[in-house]
Amino acid sequence: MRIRSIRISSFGKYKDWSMTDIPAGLTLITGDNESGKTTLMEFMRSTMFPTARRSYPVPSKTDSGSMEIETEAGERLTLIREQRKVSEISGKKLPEEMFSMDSDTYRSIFAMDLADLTDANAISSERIRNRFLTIPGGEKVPQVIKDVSSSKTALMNEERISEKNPIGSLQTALTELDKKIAAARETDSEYDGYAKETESVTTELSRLIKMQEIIDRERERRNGILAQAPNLERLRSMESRRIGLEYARDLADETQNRYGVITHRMSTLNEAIEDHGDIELMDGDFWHGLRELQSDLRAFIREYDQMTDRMEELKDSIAEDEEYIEESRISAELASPEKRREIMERSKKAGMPYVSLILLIAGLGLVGASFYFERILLIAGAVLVIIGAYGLIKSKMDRKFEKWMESQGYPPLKRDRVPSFLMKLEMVYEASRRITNSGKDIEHISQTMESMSSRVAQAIDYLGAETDPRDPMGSALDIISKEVEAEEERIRRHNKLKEMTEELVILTEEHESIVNVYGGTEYFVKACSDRSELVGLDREIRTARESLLSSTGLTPDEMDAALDEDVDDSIDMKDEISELNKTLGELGEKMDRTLRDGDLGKLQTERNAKWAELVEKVKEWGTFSLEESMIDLSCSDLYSKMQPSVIETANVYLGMMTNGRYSLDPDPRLDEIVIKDSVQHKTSKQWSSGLGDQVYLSIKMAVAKEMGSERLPMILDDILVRFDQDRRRGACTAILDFAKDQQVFLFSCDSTVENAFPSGTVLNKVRL
Amino acid sequence: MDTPFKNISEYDPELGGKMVDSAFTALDAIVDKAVSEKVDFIIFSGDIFDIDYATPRSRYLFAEAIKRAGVRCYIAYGNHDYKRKWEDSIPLPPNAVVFPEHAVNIPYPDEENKIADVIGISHSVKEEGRDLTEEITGSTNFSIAVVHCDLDTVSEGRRYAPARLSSLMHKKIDYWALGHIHKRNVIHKFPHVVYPGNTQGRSPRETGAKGAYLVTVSNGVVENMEFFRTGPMLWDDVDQDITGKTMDSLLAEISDKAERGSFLKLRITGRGELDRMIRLQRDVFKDLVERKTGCRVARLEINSGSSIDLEQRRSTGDFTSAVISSGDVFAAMERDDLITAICGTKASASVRHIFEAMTDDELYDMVKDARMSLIERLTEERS
Repeated sequence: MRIRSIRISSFGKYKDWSMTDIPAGLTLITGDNESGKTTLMEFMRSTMFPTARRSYPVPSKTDSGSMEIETEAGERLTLIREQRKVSEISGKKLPEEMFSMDSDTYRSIFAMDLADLTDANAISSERIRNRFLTIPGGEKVPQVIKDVSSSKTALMNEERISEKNPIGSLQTALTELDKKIAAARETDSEYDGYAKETESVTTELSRLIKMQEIIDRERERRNGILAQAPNLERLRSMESRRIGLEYARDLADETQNRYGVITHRMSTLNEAIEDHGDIELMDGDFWHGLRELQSDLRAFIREYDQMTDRMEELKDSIAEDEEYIEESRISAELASPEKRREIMERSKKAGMPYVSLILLIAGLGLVGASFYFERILLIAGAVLVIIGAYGLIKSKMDRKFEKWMESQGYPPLKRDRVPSFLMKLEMVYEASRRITNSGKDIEHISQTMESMSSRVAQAIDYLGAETDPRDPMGSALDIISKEVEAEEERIRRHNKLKEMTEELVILTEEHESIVNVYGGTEYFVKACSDRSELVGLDREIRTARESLLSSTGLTPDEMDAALDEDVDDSIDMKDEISELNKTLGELGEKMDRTLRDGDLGKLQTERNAKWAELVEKVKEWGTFSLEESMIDLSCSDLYSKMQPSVIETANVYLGMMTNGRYSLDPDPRLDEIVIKDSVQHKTSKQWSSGLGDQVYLSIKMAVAKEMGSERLPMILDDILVRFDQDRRRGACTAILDFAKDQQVFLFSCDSTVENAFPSGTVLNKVRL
Repeated sequence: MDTPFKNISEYDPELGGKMVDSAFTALDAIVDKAVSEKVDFIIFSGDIFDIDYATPRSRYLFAEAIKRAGVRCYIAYGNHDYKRKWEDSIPLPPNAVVFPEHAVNIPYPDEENKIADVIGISHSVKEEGRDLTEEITGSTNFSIAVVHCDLDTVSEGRRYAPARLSSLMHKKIDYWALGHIHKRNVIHKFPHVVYPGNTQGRSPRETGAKGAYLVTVSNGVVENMEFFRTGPMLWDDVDQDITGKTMDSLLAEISDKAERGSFLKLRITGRGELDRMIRLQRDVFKDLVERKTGCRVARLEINSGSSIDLEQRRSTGDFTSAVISSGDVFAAMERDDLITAICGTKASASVRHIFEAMTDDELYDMVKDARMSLIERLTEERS
C-alpha cells in the first residue's frame, strides 16, 4: 500500500494544500521548525487511522481533506476526511478495517515521531510480540519462566537458604527436630541411668532416714529426759526424805494393825467388864444335880403317862398268858426249848408205812406179771417187795414214840401231830417267859417313880420352894427349870467376864510389848505415822521411777548420767534427706515424663512428616528446576535454529544503523528487548538514547515490514535527531533499504539529512 | 511400637499424637480382645520394638499391656528388636515368656498339664542369617512355633532369618505363628503357616485393615481363625483414571473408592484436561480430594498425561515440540548428570543428598512431571 496523494482543505496551518503523485519508496520531507511537518504527519496518520487522542494541531470543525492510497493489488482508495471522521469515497474498507489494527499500534509502528519511536509498549504488547518477536508456541515462555522461577524461588532461594522459603524452613525445622530427637534420645537413653540413680538415691535416702529416725528418737528421748528433770528432782527429794523415815520401815503393818486392834479391844473390854459387875454362882455339885434332875424330871414327866399305861399293859399281858398256860394244861417246864428239841428228835425216828406198802404191792404185781412177760420183771418185783416189807417193819417204831410222850407228862400224840404240838409248846413257853419279864418291868417302873419323887422333894426343899400339890411333878419341873435357866445365865456372864478379864490382861501385856520397842506409846504412834509416810513415799518413789522409766526408758541414775551428757544438737540429716527427696522427685518426674510423654515418638513422626514434606518440596523444586532446564534447553535449541523473521529483519536494519556492531538477542526466554554485541548483552537500561532509537527503529521497521501483505506506508517524524553521523547514515541506508518495497515518509527539520543517504540516491524530496 | 509413620508430608500435631499412639491403641485392642475372649495365651512374633525408635515409654506401655492381659504372653524377638533397651529398669511382668536365641519348648500351661507345646526362638543379631526354623521341631501334642522369619515364598526384599516354606511342612508343627512380613497372609493351612501382619500400617505401602488373629484350637485341630482389626488408622491406595472425567465426576469416583478417614495414597492416571489442573494446582486438588473423601492425602502420584498427543506434537517444530525433545534429553541423562542438572546452584547443593537418595523411578518421574507441567503451562491458554 502506498499513499499516492494528499489534499488538505483545512488542517492546522494547512489550507488548500496538496501533494500529489507521491512515488513509492522514500519521500524526504524537510522544513524548518514550525513549517508544518508534524501537522502534515498528523493529518496523514490520523486520516489513515483516525484517533480521538490527537491533540496537535488543535482539532477544528473545518478539519478536512483527503488522501488517495493504492493497495498492493493496485486498488485505489480515496479517504475523505471531515473533522475526525474518515470515509472512503466509494465505501470501500478503511485501512483500520483492513489491518485490524488500532490507531495506537499504528502510530507506534508506522507513523511515529521521536516520542512514539521510543514507545516500546507496542512491540512489547503481547499481540505484537507473540506475532512477530517469538517463535511459534514460545509466547508464554517468559511468563512460564517467571512462574516457574517464582515458584521455584518460593520453595528455595538459590541465592541464600532462607527460612522464609519452605525448603529452608523445613531444613531448619529438621535441624531443630534432630536436636530435639537427639535430646529425647539422650533422655530415653538416660532412663536406665535414672533408674539406677533412683535405686542408689533410694538406698542412700533409706539410710539417711534411718539415721534421722535414730537422731529424732535420741532427740525425743533427750527432750523427754529434760522434760522429766523436775520429776527426777522431786524423786530425789522424796528419796532424801525417805532416808529419815527408814527407822519406821520395820514397823510391820501387822504390828500397827495389831496395835490398833489391841487398843480398841482393850477399850471395849474395859467398858464391858465395868458393865458386868460381880456375879455369885450356885454350889457346883448342887448345880450339877439340879441340871440332871431337871433333865430326868422332864423325861419322867414326859414318860410318866407311858409308864403308868405300860404297867397296866403288863398286868393285862400277865393275866392273858397265865390264862393260856392254864388252858393248855402244859406246864412251862414241859415247854422248854430242850424238851421241844427232844420231842422233835424222837419224832424223826418214826417212818412212814404208806410208801412201803405201795412198794410192796407194786413189787408183787411185777412178780405176778413176770410169769406172763419177761423174767426181768420178776427181779424188779422182788426188789420192790423187799423194800415195801422193810418199810412196814419200820412203822412199828411210832408206837414207841407215843409211849415216850405219855411218860414225859405230855398228852398222847401221833407222829404226824408233832409239828403242831411243838408250836403249841413254844407258845406256852413264850407266855411263861413274858409273864416273868412283865413282872420285872412293873417292878422297875414302880422303883423309878419312887426314886423321882424322892429326888424332887429334896431339890425343892433345898431351893426353899414349894410344889403345887395338884401337880407336884409339873410344878417342880417349872421351879427347877427356872432356877437352871437363871443359873445358866449367871454362869455365862461369869464366864464372859472371866474371859474378858483374862483377854485384857493378855492384851495389856501385848500392848506394852509393842510400844515399849519404840519407847512408849507416844513414840510408837509417831513411828506409825512415819511408817505411813514412808509407805506413801515408797509408792510415790516407785511411781515416779516407773513414770521416768516409761517416759524416758531410763532409771534415775541413768537420767542423771544422761542429763550430765554433753550432747551435740546440731547433727541433723533433714537437709540431706530433703535434698535426696528432691533428687528422687526430679528423677521420678523425669522417668514419669519419659514414660508418659512419648516425645521421641512424636518427634520422630514429626520429623518423618517434615522430612517427607521436605522431600516432596525438594522434588517439587527439582521439577521446577527441570522445567527451567528444559526451557533453557529448548530455547538454546531454538535459539540457533529458529529465529522469528522480524528479528532477522530487525537485525539487518540494526546492523546497518550500528555498522554491524549490535544485533538483537532472539532468546525466547527474554521478556524484554536485549541486544548483544560480541562482548555483551545490553538491556534497554543500558542503551544510550540514540542506541535506543536505533533499536526501536530497527524493530519497528522490521515489524512494519512483516505485518501483513498490505505493507502500510511508514511515516517518520524527526526520528534521526539523536543519531550521530555514522548511525544516521546507517539509519538512512536502512530506511532506504526498507523503502525499496514499502513507502516511507521521512520528515526532518534538518535539510542536510539527505546527505546521510548513500551518494547517488535519488530521493523524492519535498520542502515545506 | 513408637515406630514413626512414613511419608505423611503434612504434619498435624494432633494427628501426629494419634499416629504415635496408634500402635499402642492397637496393642490395647489385642489385650481387650484377649481379656474379653478369655484366651489361654497371646503370641508376639517379633518386631514389637524397633531398636532405632524404641523408647522407655513404648517398653513401659508394652509391659503394662502384658500385665493387663493377665495370661501368658509368648514373645519371640525379631530383626528390629533383636537388641532391647531398658530391660532391667522396665522389666516385663512374670506372665511374659521370652524365647531365647536358641529354640526352646515352653509347654502350656506347664510340663505336667500341657495342652500345647510352644516352641520359639528369637533373633540374636540384626541381620540374622540362620534359618531359625531348623531348630524347631514339634511333637505329638498340638505344637505351635513362634518365629520371626522371612519365608521364601513371600519375601519382600532383604532376607532376615530366611526359611523355606517347604521345610515347615514336616516339622510336626500345627501352627507356625510367624512375624516379619507386614502384610497379613495365611500361607498354608494344616499345618497353618500364618503371618498376621503388623497391627497398624505405618506407611502408604501398608494399606488395608491391620490386626491380629484369634485362633481357636479344638481337639488338637485349628478350628477357627478370626481376624480382628486393631490399627485405628487405615492406609488406602486408590488408582484413578482422569480420562474423560470432569473434576466433579473424578472426585466422586475417588470418594467412592477411598475408605473415609484413611490416609490416602492417590495415583492419578489417564489423559485429559484435568491433568493440567491437578499437575499445576496440586495443593488445590489435594484439598478438594480431602474435602470430598474425608481422607488425608498422604501421597499424590500424578502419572497422568495431557490431552496433547506428544508424539504428534513432537514434529510440529514449535516450542512445545522443543520441550518434548528437551524432556527426552533429560530422561536419557545418567543419574548423576541429571542430579547435577537439577542442583546446578550452590544453594541447591544442600538438597542434593535428597535427590541422591531417590530411586531411579522417583528421579526420572520428576523428568516426566517437569515436561508434562511445562507443556501444560505453555499450552494453557491455547487449550
